[in-house]
Amino acid sequence: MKRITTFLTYFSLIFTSNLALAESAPIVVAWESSPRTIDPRYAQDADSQYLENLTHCSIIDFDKNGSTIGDLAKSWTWTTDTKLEVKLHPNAKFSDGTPVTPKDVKSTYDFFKDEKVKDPSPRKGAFTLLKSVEVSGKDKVIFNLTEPDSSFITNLVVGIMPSVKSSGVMIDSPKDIVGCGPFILADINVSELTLTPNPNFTLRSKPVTSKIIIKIVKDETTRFAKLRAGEVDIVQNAISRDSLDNIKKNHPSLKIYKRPGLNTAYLGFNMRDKIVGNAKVRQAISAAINKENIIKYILKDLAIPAEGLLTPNDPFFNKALKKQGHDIKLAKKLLDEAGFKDPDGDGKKPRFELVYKTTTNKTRVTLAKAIAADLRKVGIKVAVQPLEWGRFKADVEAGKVQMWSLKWVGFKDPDIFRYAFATESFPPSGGNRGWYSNPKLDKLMTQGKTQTNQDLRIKTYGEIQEIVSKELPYVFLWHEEVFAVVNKNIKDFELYADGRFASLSKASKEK
Amino acid sequence: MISFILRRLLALVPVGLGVVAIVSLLILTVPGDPADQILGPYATLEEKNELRENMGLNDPIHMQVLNYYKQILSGSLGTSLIYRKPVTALIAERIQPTVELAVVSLIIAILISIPLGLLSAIYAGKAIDYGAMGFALMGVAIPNFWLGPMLVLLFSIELGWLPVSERVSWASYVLPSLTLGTALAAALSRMTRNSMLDNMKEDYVRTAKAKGNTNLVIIGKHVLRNASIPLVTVVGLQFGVLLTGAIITERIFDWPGLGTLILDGINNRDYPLVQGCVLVFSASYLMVNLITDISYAFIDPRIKPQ
Repeated sequence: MKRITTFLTYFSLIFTSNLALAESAPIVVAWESSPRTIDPRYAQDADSQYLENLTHCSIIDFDKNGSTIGDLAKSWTWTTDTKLEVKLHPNAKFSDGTPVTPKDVKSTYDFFKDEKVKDPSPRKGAFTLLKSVEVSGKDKVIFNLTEPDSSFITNLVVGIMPSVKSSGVMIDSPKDIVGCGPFILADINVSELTLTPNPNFTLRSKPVTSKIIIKIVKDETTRFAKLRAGEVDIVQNAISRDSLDNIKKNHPSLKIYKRPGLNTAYLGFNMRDKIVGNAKVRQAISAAINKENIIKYILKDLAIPAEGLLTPNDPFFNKALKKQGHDIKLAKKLLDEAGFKDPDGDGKKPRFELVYKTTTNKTRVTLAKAIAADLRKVGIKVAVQPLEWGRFKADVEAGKVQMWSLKWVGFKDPDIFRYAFATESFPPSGGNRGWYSNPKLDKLMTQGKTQTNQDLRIKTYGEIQEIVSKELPYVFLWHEEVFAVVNKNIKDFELYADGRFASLSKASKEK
Repeated sequence: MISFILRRLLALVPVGLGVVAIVSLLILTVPGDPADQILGPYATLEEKNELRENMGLNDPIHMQVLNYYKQILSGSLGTSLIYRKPVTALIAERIQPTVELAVVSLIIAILISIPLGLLSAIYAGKAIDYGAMGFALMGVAIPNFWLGPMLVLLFSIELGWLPVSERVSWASYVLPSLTLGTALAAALSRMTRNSMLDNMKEDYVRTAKAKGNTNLVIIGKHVLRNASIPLVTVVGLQFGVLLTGAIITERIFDWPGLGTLILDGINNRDYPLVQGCVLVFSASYLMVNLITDISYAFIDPRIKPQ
């Protein structure tokens, strides 16, 4: 009798918990734009990479703070400066039940080196230093590089595909995509993606929800309307900050999540310009901008002032960096020292005029106007020029700018300094759009890239940050917080610093 | 009639190619590099140059346009640079929603405007007339990027009667087609009124009255038919506008149509996609005009297309 009772108790617990899981309503998420591809080898835009993260496993992943963690990789080690050995989890499976093997990893990464591939992948550029991939035993893969690169591990985020399915052309049908991530892409059309739990997912706990529906809602007003109407449950980083106060006051069914993000907004300068090419002018501009006010009134306190390119939580962040506060007197003094005296004291005539280019995004334009107003107080007249994105990007890369604003997002390794400031990174080869060149910095950045000892790297990047904070090739403005507006029925949702939706595998929706 | 139709169909070719040439010249000269969009920020200069060479983007503009003509003659509209799919496939999956929205919007516009215009003409100078023409004025003045969100606020959020957006059920068609159809209804009701008033002054109306016909018969059987000829012209032209100009409405309501597709193409410098969409738009516009011209012959047998 006791055994029967125990059995019935366990049975009912299992049955009801499964019933609860099975009945967990679908979670509906609104994205601003649709993924350009479902093939992880071609996933270069943010939405494709968000999808990749949900449907595929990769060698490494990043936790919610942006720190590197193993995904398919159980562990990894640099056996030499140019040899990275990765040990894989033994029990990982694809969604069709077949095991994930080192051969599959090799096949996925060989794709980027295959000259016969008809349709080149936009991710190929991240693997220019990859010489070859070897299989070692039943559970190890060795990546051989042509030269040392400590940041290489952070590139191993490509979704692993079965070697038998890998082809030389982009796959665009969900039927042909097999991944090892927590979800399967069940369906995709112009306006919607449907994800269902992967029954063979073994790397972590299986998803709790029965389904994720991702709706593509391009208009911000419509996204907000759908949230209010209960047609979507989650909107992340795609609602105007101005709406958040309204949501807090008038919509008790919605909850706002926020956390520090992995991004840095900056003012860029063209070093070839005779005005902003002068370091004292840039230092003066930095001192003249009242970041705290802008963060409070325009960004609604959803940001923290930036002291450098790296966020304060970054393990490589130099905590000894001098804070650059708002100081109008200092700004005026620096401008005088730079040879740009105020012609009429505090009168109407400016010391000089600048053109500040930005995109047509209304928040960016508002921010630009606020910065222009701050600079006017120290005698710099600024004309804000909002440009359509394609035109803006073309002008910045062609050097047809004096000053512009942009944001670095989602960087996971301090090698971003080399991409942003090295002489070798002048456009179109890299992201040094200000054409900044400093031989001492170049040497340090090469050193930092090749050092494998973490403590030495931290020291090297500490020095790099000191030089950058003095020379200010960029004025670092703030690190914006990532935020999401979520239906209160959603449980266990978490924000990731880089804006990914990885926590959807743990989240569920109460009916 | 058949030779008329054939001549008009043949005219599609030079007009369509001319439109494509003009749009191609414009988009190819706009700043922005599709190689950046395709290969991403980490591609080397050599890779970008190689891609541009393979795509023919380094050729002179007039050669790029000529190459595109050759491609069309071989039956292809090219491959989207961003989506990496045939442009014909992308257009095929989007054209039906656009046509559906245009048709429903037109039906709503006609259902509103014809009765309103009729009443306005019959009761010219009275309160009904002023009310109807007031509506016409508002309908033309209110922009659809304001009207759409206001309808959503009222019917979807406050009342919860209709979905906010997307094309999922019959209810999804109501708000976007009201948004698109209102301006057209306003213009059509005004035209209906004016056309009716002009025809009501004609001799045949006096004759019909003298013969003892009721007002209903006079208006329904005689006046409306004669008054509809200019209306058919406007409806035809406006249907072309509905097909091609619903970009804002499609954007507000997440309508998966050609409007949002061409917008994506322009923003991403996806030249083949933009050229393909423009070709389809111009062809549909010309076809609608052809159908309009043919319909005259059915409304008024005295009119023969030449």
